[in-house]
Amino acid sequence: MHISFLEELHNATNELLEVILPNRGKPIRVGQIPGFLEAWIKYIETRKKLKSWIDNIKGPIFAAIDITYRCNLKCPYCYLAAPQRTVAPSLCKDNVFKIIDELSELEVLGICLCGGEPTLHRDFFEIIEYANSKGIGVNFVSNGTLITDKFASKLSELNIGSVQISLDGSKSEIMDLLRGKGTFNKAVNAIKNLVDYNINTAVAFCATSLNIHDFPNTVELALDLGVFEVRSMYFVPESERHLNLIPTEEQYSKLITWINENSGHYPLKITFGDPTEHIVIGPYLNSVVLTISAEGYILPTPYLNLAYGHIEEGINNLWPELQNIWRDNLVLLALSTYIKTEKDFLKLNKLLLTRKECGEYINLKKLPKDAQFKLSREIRRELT
Amino acid sequence: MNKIKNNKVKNPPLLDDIKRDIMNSRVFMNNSIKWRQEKDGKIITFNPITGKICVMNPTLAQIYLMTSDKSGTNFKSILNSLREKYPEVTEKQLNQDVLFALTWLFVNGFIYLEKYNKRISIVDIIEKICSDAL
Repeated sequence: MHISFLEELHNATNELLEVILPNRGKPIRVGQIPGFLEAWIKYIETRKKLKSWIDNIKGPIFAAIDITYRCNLKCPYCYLAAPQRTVAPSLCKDNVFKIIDELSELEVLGICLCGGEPTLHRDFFEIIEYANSKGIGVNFVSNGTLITDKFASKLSELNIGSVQISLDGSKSEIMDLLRGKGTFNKAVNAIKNLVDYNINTAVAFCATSLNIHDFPNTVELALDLGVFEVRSMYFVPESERHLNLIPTEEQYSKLITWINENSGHYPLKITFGDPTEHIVIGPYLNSVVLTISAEGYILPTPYLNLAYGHIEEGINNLWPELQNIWRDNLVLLALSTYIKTEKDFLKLNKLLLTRKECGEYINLKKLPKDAQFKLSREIRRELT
Repeated sequence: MNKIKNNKVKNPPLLDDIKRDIMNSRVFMNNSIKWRQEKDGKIITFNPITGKICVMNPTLAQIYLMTSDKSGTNFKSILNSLREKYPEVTEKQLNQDVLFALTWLFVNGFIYLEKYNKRISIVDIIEKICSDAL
């Protein structure tokens, strides 16, 4: 019962914090923090000794399922390029049920229904009901445009963990500029409807150069609406179209400083994420989260068109390989080694690895070894 | 939810109070948290509201599992059960470890307490702090 490694863990945690804390409040991503990886590796090694680390797990813990790429908005920063799609694929109900069956066998604990706009899927409620019947927690993300009182009422009869609504500003002049006329009011109404039915609701704020200054006001609004969390992260640029939307480092710095100084004063959670984190630390973790595209491909990261297998092959069958895919696959390892910030996605765009033009996926499982070598060398060249 | 902006939280309930309640109340698993046990005894949990993933080491997992009974359990029952499994551990150490484990489980929302026939969670305590701070 006595935990002999506790002191070692305490020291490793302190060392990790010593590396991280001096950079707190600065717009710096994990890949840029000197000494981060070394301190992090030491920390997880110590955690492993305590046997409280995730290794050789039964299956993924969480899965994001893009049930459709249909969307009723044309947001300029969509990294899935939904506005550019002439044909938007959707997973049919049978395939979603099959995915849920397999995830259930792997004892996945939660799924997030994503898109596109997942509420546009014709079998949306049935999918939630089915996941509920398998004991899997369900969350979903939405732009809120379709979440009427009736919709929220129906939703409240099901078992929903939480709903994340996109709210990119505290007033229509700001959000409508980005997402289109009327989107602000629809998002606010959606939040009101969900909160009225006691559905846990979070807000996702896409921080761009045009709205980042309005984050504090958006938090205030979210608080008044009864939201439990406001989430934001570094903007993910995938093409030249996005260049004018990237906030400056000074804008990020102001935002992060505000969050650090104010988040403790709000009875809601305020988080700011790093979209490259799962890539940088990927080789040192099991694949705890899987993304499944609307075409049925299994994606190690949602930001790139790199796939590893297809649902037709069976997620169960693929799991032994998927488990350590960031460590074992040459292309993913190169990505993990050389990516530093989300701005590197622009460089990867030159290799046609982003999802901006809805091009074909590169299925790493079927890519010959020499092609993988070539691609990993190209990634290294672009990112260094 | 109430706004407490610009008001620093005053007089939070002492952790000692929580610990005392834990030692004297029945504790129940919070069933809204999803969990699974791995082959090596660890438990992985997922909070569907916050999305938070947590890994419990096998010993903490044992204690957590004891709270899953419909009628709950209490500090003494857990202590008795662990005393048999870890006879080499001193009584003082065992007391400390079980109390630490239950406090951790409570503060992180994995268990409820039952006091005066009412179930109390960490969220109830936070909401009370917020309303008191207004």
